[in-house]
Amino acid sequence: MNDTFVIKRATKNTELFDPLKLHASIVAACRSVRAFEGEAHITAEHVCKHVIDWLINKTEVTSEDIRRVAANHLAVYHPEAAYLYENVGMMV
Amino acid sequence: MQNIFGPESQPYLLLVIGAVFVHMCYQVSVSVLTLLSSHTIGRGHTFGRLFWLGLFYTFGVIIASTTILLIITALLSWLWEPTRHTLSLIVMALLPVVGLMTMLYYYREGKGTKLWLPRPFVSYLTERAKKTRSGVEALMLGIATVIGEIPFVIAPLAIIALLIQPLSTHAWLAGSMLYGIVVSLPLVFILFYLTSGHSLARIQKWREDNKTFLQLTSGAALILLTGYMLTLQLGWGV
Amino acid sequence: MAKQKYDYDLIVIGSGAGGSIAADIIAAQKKRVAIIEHDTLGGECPNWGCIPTKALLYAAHIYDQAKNAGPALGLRSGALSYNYPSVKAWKDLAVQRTGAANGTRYYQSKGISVFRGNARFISPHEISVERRHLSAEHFLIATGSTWTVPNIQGLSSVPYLNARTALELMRPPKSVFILGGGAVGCEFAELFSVFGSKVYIAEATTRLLPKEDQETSELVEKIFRTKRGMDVLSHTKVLSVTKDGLGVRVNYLRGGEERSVRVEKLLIAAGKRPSLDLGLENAGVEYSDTGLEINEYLQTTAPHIYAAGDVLGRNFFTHTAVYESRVVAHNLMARQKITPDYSAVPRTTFVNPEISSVGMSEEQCLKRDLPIKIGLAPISIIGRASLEDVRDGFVKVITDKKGILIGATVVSPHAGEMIHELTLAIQHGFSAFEVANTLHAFPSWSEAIRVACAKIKV
Repeated sequence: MNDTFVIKRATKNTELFDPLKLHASIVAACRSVRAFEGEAHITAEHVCKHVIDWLINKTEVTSEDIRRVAANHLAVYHPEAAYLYENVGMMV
Repeated sequence: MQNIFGPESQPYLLLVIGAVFVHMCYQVSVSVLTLLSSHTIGRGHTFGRLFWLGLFYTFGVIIASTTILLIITALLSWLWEPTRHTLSLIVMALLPVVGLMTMLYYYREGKGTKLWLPRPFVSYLTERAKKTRSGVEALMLGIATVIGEIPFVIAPLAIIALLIQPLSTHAWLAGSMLYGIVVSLPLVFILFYLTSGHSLARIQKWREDNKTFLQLTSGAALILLTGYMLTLQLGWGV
Repeated sequence: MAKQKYDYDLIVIGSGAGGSIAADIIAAQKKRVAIIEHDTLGGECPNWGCIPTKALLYAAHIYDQAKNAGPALGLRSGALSYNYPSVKAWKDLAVQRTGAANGTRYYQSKGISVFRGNARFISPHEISVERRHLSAEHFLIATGSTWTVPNIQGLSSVPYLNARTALELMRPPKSVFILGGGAVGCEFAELFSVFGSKVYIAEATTRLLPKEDQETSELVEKIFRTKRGMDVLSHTKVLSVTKDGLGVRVNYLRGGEERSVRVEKLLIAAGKRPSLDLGLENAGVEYSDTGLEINEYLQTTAPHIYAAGDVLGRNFFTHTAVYESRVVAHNLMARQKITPDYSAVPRTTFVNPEISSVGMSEEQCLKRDLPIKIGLAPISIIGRASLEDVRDGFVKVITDKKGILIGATVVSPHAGEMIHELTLAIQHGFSAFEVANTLHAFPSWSEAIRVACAKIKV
């Protein structure tokens, strides 16, 4: 997989895409809607795989892009978690 | 000045109810509580832990609301005699302005329930909500949230302050605490709703679906309260 | 246009028909222009679209005519054969002759900067190309389209062709199942059948070429079945595909019956969708699966970003992309913006005989309850058809009740040329009477147009 860099919208900093971070954030989103631990991890694995496939041939994306794509794929498995995941930055 | 606990108190009770309703419509503390709950549940904590943190957060909101109301009341009382007329006019002018601002600008455009707060302050609240792990931190978060909410809640607080400032200081304290508790009831309701197993996403979805209603209602209510206060003000012989 | 606040006055994303024209025009006005391309310069049409497919079809038609029409004319074609790698080489030569792939030098000579890579919006006025950030006052999105991959069970685990990869075959397949009975599917069906493939062409709707008139579809299906030996499977739903040895087994449902066929190759030609994975949300551009949301001036919801070509999801033609590119260039430079006029957009399917249409079809008129008149002339009645031994084809013109032309279909050799007379007539509101009273050279194919128009009585 090519290295993909992620631009953090708020700080404008760039960092290498970390699938583990994405996995953890999706697990947290699933748990926040009371999904079981195992289910959350399996869902996160599927979503991460989709996101990694989407990132092929992309050298730079924004954190919003990753959040959006992850939320779209997460919605297939867990719509409530996807809603919270997408909206966590839009609550306040 | 009439005694608001006398037989003529009903009109003033309506004012109090109106102010409480408007304050309850403001959503900053609800937003932060939702965020705090999301992160707490996301870390896999128990319902008890969530309740504990939420309770401390609510205490923080109550303490801050009470304190700010007391401060405004004290200020009004201190400045009332020499500048009563001016202060009344300021308060009367403040209400429709805040009401109009609320109707037009309270929520930012687009998805979610983003508010017209300075973004650095929002980032601070968001970060703190994410990192809150103890009761004390939750308490301080509650206090910080109310401080950030002041531009919006100053209007209903000013109404209450105007009403209770002629009373004794004991009445100030009792009234402020009662007010702080009542306006924090939505937080208590959400806390119980979450800890009884209901979904956080449902709460947030409800807030997003009804944000325009809340925004318009609270703004319109403030403008109506202004008119109502004008009629009462005439009764005060100012 | 822009002060030095931005790197460029205009950044064009996509070097195809929708982008290159506008880039040229704006650069000629001494503006700072950049063009971004992630694939081959020139885009789809010259590299893996119109030019290569029509080059292959040209070779196929010559071979087909010599083989089949020759004996009637007293020509012997016993030793006639083909060498497919050479046919492919001819196709490559045709592509090379366009010069599109070597466009970097051309663009640079015009003062246009060329960047290679995937472009992605990171903010309303900034894009990222291979981690390089470029800013511009205006953008033109001309990223074209990609082939739709239908959701069919097993498709992800079998090898299949699309309209691009099918051009790279070194020999025609022994058998091919074509999923999609539109223009592209029909063209590939014709191509492979001429070179000896057993062709199955499946279409989910009631007929091949569903956007054309009923008569056109019926004629094409008849020609495909009787003269090309194809299996035309209309009303067909492909259920699943599986690997079967070196080939592919296709299971489909037709007429309530489930059937299966084993073929060497599977070709997916099930339509196109706009290429929209550009981070458009970061630029505030709204879009849906069917294309970008634009206004009448081809501006997106972000007013400084325009769009042209296939990405709009309207017409997937090179000529409309070129036209839209010109419109965008005008709207970028001029105060008074213009709107594109789609009243007369010709479209051609390059099978034999060619099928061309413009304006409204009869079905569209009926759906809108428009009172119309129809003039139909079979091609066989004109002199040219007799001397070239052509029996199949017709010209159909549609007018409103006053006799003004609103639509036309031509099924004939050289239909792709003939249609432009009718395109001009429709665009400028000519009546059938005026066209019928225009001299048409004898013996030309266009006589059929005169005959069809003459049949309209007002």
